[in-house]
Amino acid sequence: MKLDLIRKCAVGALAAAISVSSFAGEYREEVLSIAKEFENSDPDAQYTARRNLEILVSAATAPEKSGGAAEITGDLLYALSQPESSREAKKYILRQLARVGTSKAVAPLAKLMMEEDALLAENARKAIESIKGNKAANALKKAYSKMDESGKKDIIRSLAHRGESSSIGFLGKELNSDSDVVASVAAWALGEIGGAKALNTLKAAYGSGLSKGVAGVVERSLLSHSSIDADTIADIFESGSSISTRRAALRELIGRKDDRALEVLEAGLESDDLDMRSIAIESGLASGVDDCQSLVLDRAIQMSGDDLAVLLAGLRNVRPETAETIGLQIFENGDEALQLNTLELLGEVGSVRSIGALLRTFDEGSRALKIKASLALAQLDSPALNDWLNDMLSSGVEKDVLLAQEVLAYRNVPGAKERLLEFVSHENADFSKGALKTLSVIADESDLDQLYSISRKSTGETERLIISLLKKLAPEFGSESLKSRVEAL
Amino acid sequence: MLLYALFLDSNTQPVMKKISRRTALKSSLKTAAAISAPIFLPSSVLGLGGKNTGPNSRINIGLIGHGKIMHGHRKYHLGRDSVEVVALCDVDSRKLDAALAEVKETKGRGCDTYEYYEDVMARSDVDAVVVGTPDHWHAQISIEAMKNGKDVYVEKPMTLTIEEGKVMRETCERYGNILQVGSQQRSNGAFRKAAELVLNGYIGKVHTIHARLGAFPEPTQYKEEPIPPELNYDRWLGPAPWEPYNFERIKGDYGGGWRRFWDYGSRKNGDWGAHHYDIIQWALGRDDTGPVEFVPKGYKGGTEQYYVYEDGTKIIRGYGRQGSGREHMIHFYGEEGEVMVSRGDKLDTKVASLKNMVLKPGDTRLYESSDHRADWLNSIRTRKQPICHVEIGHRTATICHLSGISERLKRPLRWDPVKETIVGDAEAAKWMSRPRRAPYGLLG
Repeated sequence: MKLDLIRKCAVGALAAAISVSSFAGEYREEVLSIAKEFENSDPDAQYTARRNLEILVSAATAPEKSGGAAEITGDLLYALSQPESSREAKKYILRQLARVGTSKAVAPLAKLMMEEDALLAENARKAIESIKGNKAANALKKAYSKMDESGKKDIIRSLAHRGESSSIGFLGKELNSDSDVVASVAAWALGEIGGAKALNTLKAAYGSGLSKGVAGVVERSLLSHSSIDADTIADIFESGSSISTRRAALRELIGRKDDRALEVLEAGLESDDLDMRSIAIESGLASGVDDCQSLVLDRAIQMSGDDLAVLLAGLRNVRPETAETIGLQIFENGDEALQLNTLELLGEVGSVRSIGALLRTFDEGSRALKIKASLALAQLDSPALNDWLNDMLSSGVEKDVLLAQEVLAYRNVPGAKERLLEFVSHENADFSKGALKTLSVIADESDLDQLYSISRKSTGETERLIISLLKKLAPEFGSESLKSRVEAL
Repeated sequence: MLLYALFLDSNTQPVMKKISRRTALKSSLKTAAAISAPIFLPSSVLGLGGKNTGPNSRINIGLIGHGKIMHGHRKYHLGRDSVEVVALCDVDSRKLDAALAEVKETKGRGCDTYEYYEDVMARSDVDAVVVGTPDHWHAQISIEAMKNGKDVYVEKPMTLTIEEGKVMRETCERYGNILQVGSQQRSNGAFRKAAELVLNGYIGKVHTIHARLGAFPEPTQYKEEPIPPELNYDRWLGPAPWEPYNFERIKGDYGGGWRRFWDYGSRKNGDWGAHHYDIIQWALGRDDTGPVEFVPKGYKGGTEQYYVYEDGTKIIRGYGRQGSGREHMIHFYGEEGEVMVSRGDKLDTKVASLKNMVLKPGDTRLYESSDHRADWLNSIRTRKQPICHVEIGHRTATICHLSGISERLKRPLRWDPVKETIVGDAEAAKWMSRPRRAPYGLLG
């Protein structure tokens, strides 16, 4: 088997590759002992060995252990160099070195990185990647020229993960690599490393005849720099290689709120691309800039249903009265999907002007609309709604009374429960039922006591309904006294 | 003329109060029209073209990862006229074939299938993707999707590492995507009510919370088995470390399978923890921050893992031995009462009648959603942030990961939720990220 051959070769090569001081560290014996545990092929024993190594390294590098990382690094390297250490042991030792390794591990790891055993070589690279300092960076750069395309990609990734600014010049050259794969990873890496020098390198390359794929990565990397200038973003917006980078550029430009924002916002609003328009609407309203918001709202008159849905959500960023007015217009003319979103908006920003629409929808709307309307009625910050509901309860008009009773299950109106309790013994059986229905979901312990008293004075259907309610609720939260009285009913 | 200026000229006086209630209620449409009369524009002028002209554009979605969790997503989206499932992706052709058969059976026609998610990303007609892979693939696929202009529904926990979460948040912000994390308990009325009661102080200051997560079997090292020809195992492992193939390692199993391994998730912390810690963050009003200390089980003889917020609120994993409230998934203890909540719409309170409390108008009301997937689809149309957006997902996942790191290192961790760093433990801080196996470097 090829794999076995590689493994055998690797074991021999590793011993030769790793040269470690014979000075025994505090953890050497334990590390060697754990390394031996990996020889047991039992699955649970393998896992235990892995976990024991993890726990040992964790204890060695605890905050109170001064110099623990250097100490355990030496002992891990020693175990790594032993011919008798199994490949599994080496694999997990390398993983631990990626956690805690110090610069003294760089040289032996750099040799391992070039070994034939791809798994161990990769684990060695990842360990170097995580070690701070120039030694590790230089080891990665030195290995680069000896790598194939795939290996080059990996080295570039490692440099990027390290934020290795010393590699910017070298990565800049790789932007013009014959391999689009290498050039793309280099462009990504420059974005990851960041800073003015990396930004300038990317800017210089952008527009210099890069392939579309590489240009797209350069655009993404440029956009990841917070210090990118507006001109470059505008270039991406106008001629970016993909719609996603163009959209991101639009968003960034509007978010900057400078002179260019209005110009690009207008272009975005007029775009044929729905997502571009959505970003323009959303960003324009969220900008908090009057001119930008006006530009968006001015176009409301021409908007399709899709655009209006975005507009509705963005209205939370404009003056509440404006949002409410537009919301009511859309509510009256939109389909159910728009209405559902409008009800949510009205609950948040609405005033007395929204009450009629909310109550009507609660009364007559579909189940989905009724649920949204109930939430909006519960939330609406308008004392007038409380007055309205109280007036309805007093109106004597059956439809009004029953509707108000139902709304009280959702909206906490001061004094409302007292009114409902009065309705329980009302001569109109529907009023009584309506009140009990709402009380069944909002009553507390004292309300139950009052209901009990009312039941004692009631007869017929009303008495039966009250007792039924008490038998359901009293065991849950009635007083001990009430529980026993209800049980006796 | 500015339309919004016309709107601003509208009657902002409380005229409704002056109108007879009954009249208004008998014909609220008329009432609304009357109020709006000075500015009312016919729907054709507003661009609406009458009724049923709302946001009707069909959303084309790709479903990535067809294990257990995707079953519900697939069924849901195939059952909606407003959604078109146009792409399926999995590294196991057997799962892909089964998913395709379901599409054909439901829709009467097939759709495109892919082994490589990059091919889904390359399609400009795919508006959004659902990522239902194991956790170690969540971030990479989601980030690629966002950079390609697609909206994302990603299963919980959002990430495998804290650093992945930071990159996802930044990417989402830059590209303006809608991202919903699949912590669907937020879209359940009982959990929302529980969170609202806690958040609004109805049980007084909260001092202790228990969350029941259960436990997986310890990880193990399975014997190597031949890799099935239908499975691209290298791709399944992706950025996770190479380990020999064994079916038990990759199996989708809520009682174990891949979920029991640290390489692919945060074990129970990232499983039930991602649900319950999420609700706790919500109830405490801490969606944009997090705890400051994480203590593993067994530290100084402690019988349970816990974490602590800056104000001392302590969240304990499990219920210990006292048993009280064990039947519930989350149990909030306040100075003036208790709130207990579980799946199945189970909500209990002490004082018992508290659960009947109707929030007052001034109370904080939490985002209402009764359908987590519908909320995502609605957000795609409106561009409004969904109920469990990227920041929420990242903060909750951070708790899962820190709990896991603390458990693995067997020592307490201090966390700075503002700087988002582990404090005073340089070695532990390295665990905020994980080495990624080539060629699966994040974003590379």
